Amino acid sequence: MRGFVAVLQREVIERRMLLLVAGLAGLISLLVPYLPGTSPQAVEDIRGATALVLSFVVSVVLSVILGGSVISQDLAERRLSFYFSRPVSGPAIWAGKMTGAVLLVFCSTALVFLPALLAGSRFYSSLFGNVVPGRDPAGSVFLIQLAVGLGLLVPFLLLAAHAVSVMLRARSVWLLFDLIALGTVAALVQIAEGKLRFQGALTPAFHIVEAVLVTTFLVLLAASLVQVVRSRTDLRKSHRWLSVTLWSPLLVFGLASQGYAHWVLDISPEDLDEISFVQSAPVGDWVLLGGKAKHRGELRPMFLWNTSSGRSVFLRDTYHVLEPQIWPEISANGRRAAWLALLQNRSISQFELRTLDLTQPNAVPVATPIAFPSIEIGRLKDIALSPDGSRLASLERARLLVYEISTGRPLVSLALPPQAISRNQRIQFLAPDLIRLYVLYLDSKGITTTNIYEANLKARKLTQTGGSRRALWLQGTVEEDHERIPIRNLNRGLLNILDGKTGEVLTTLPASRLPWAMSAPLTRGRFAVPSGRKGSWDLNIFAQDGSELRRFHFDGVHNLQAGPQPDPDHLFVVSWTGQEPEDGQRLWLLDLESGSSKLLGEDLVPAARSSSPGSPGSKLFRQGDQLVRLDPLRGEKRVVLDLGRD
Amino acid sequence: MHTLRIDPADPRPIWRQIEETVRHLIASQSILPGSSVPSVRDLARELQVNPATVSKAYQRLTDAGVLTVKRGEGTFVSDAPPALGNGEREARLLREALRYASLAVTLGASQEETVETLKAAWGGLTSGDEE
Amino acid sequence: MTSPTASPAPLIQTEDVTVRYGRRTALEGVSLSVPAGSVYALLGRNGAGKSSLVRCLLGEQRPKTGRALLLGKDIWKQRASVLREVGVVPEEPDAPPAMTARQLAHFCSRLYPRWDAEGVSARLRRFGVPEDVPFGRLSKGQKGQVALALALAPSPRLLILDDPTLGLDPLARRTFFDELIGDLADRRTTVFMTTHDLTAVEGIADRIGILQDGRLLLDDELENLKRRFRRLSFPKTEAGVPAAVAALAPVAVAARGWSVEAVVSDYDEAWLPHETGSRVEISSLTLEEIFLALVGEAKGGTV
Repeated sequence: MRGFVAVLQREVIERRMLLLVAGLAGLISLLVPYLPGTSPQAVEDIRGATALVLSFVVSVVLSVILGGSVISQDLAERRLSFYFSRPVSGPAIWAGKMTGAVLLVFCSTALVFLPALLAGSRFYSSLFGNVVPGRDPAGSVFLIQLAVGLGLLVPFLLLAAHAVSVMLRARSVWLLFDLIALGTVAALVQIAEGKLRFQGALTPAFHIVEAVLVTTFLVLLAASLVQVVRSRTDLRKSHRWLSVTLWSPLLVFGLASQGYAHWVLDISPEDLDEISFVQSAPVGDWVLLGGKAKHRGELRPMFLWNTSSGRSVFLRDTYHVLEPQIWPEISANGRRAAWLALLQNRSISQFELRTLDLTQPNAVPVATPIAFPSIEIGRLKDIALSPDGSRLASLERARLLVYEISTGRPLVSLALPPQAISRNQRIQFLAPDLIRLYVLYLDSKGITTTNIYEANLKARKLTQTGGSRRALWLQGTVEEDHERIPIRNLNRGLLNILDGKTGEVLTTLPASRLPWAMSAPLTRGRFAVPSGRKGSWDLNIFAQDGSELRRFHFDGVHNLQAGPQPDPDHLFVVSWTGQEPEDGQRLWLLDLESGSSKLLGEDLVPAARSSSPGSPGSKLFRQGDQLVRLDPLRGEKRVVLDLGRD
Repeated sequence: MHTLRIDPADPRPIWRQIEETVRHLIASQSILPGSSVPSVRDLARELQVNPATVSKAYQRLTDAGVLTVKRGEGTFVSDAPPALGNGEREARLLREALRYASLAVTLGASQEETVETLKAAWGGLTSGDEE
Repeated sequence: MTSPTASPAPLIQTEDVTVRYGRRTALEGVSLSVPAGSVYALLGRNGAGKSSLVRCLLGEQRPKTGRALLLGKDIWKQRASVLREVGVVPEEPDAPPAMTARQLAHFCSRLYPRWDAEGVSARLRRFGVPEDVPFGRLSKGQKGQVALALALAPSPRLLILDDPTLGLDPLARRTFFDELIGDLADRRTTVFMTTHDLTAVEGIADRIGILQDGRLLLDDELENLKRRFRRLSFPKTEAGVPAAVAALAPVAVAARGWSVEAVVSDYDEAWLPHETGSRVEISSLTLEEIFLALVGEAKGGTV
């Protein structure tokens, strides 16, 4: 201990001139504001900012200079034997010198900062909350964060400068090995981190960066200590020990980060412990599935999952998703899926379109030439896939663009008229050359209007086909059959069915006033509309012309939701006994022809957000931690995904 | 102190050289009985030799009675000539004579020459001249 | 060769020390010991391995095989505790150039259990070295004197001096040895030194070691060396080296004009020259001459 203190004191005393220079540099920030050309009001701010910048620069520069000399200079100039021929231990020498250097940097930085701080500055009071804790908690926290950040940066730079200095001063061939090792480690880490970021797994990617910094710091610490203790006064040996102790763990780390990245991305629906959403393809066995993954931090993966083959394709992480409304699309023919994924291309973040061929059993995601810079994502409102999946339509605030996906070539670009530009826009392909655009528009009188447009891609024309002064439909989903749009009018407990093209009211149906009662379109133009009040609900089945076909009564329930249809003649319904989703969920199967109803089970809820009747998605249900496939007509119930199992 | 030098080429150990030179100086009356001799420390420094060597020489001389140590005052030449047992004295003389004789034979000197030289040296000592 | 009374443990002991730098062997199987109270001088040409050995003794270099023991302990493993009793004067002055002698003394005083601050000042005064001049600005001789003063201040049991008089003028050298001898007279310190200054060491050392190409050629008391090494000079004959001379273990044989000089290492007082049948001149050697004979060019016994 005595040796440590003696070495420490000696290091600081020898370089006491630095502190003097730092003090003088601190005075600079007092003088700078008085240079010609600065306004009097800005004096305090200039002073404060100058001192801040100066002290940061000083701390960085000093860290590098001192780090590069405190031990390595003595080592190279063969003066380290002065310590080693005396009764002071290797670790004490190392610790004394390093700590001395750190102290010098901190004190110098403080000295540069001090005059401006004492002179007072509005700049600082706004930045640091008057340096009085409690006065401005946020400011004090920032000050603490800054101090901690600097407190870690300085030793890091010092240690790194020391390592580099030893390597350069030794002038041995080992430097080549160092460079190769550095390149290898950097490549391994960068590839792993890039792979994760590319797939949108930003949190794990960030974990790697954090881990790299921490590991490098610790390894630099250990390597410098080992070097001093084991190689003592021999410069060449010091370099060798330093290099070996530095690169071995880092190379292992590099490999581990590769393994980590691989493990994170080698994920399948079985690795979820919570399902957030399920959405089925219009046709076919594929389903979009998302949830929270086990053991992977905040990773919230999204998969395309084939419910019959069990094959899953990881699309991206949705935790850091920047544009939640831009949902993956599956083409109407169920053969192609498309989604936006983050692609970091040097300085600009981009979202690129990737597609998956759902017909090929072993297909992997393919990048397309279509990309959107992330800063524009806020302006990107919606995308849609053409029915055969060969084209992508994108809706940016002022334009409708259609691309050919395989080449990325824009085919059509249509400007939107002023009334078509708003926050809420949605597009849908009706046919390969026909796109419908729905726009929720707030006019000058504050009344919401829904405008409906059609874009004819062959004719390259956008025309308004209709509109309606009803709102709210955009908060639900545009139904599969675009020719009929259910719009609810809450005030009067009515459900208006509008024509999808013109917006005219086709029929008006009686409905519940309660806002959570949702209707569902059925096959053959029918509608299932729940109505009722606490304790007593009805599910009414209406025909296309508005006549009532059936009525199913439910007692003792608080809410009803009409679910998917397993086939055109049946309907799933979920009932709740309370307001919470968990309250007494029951799944019923209604026979629309006979009017009978059958209780299928408790705690069973349709998993998919929207499914076409009879599609595999329509048979997926969530029960507790499991995803089950229920085909009641054939009497099948099969657990497809069990999240409770580890 | 009269010249006391160490001859590096002399195969005799240094302590022996010191011892014999001191004896020689005493015998030739260059140093008188009762006079002080330099301390071990000072003589070692002057001769640029290991004090242990000087110490050994002094010890032998003291044991032989040639020098006397007076506590607190230093080392002095003894007043009285050393008292050696007869047998010891003769053994010593014989040993040294054998040495001298061997050397003379080596150099090819005759017995006569050897004895003459010895006489001359003796004479030189007692007359006070340095050899 | 066991003595009835146990002699105190040697203060330095190397056990089969081997040091390699890559492919170059600096030391090979060096085993020597320095008894307590002795002055051991290690001689050798430049590059013989002296500095490597000193580094091993100071725990700065780890031997590839073997170990170095100081005061009975492995110096590599227990360097800091062992050096509390050891004073070191290095070959190259390694004190930080900016520190003054006063600051150096203050720094060192905190590291050792005993420190004679008065002694340091007195020595520096005696040497005429200013206490407040930065070390880097002192002359070479003054640097050595400061180093010696610092090495003696903790009253060490062992002094290790690595070529302490290299490059010093005669006065500085004399002053150095005066100081060293004074310390030896006062405290019977054990000394291990490497040196080129054979004449100075001749009087002071009581054990000599000679290092050549990393190997210890010789490790003996100086008295013994003086006793057993002789130069024999005899006329050149076709017979070459006489058998009687060859029996005395010649280490260097050289022709000088009409005669041949052989330096033998096993001379016996009782040996008589008339056995050769011809006249032989026998002369004794200084340490320097012994050294040259052992490591010089004319070694091996060629005529």
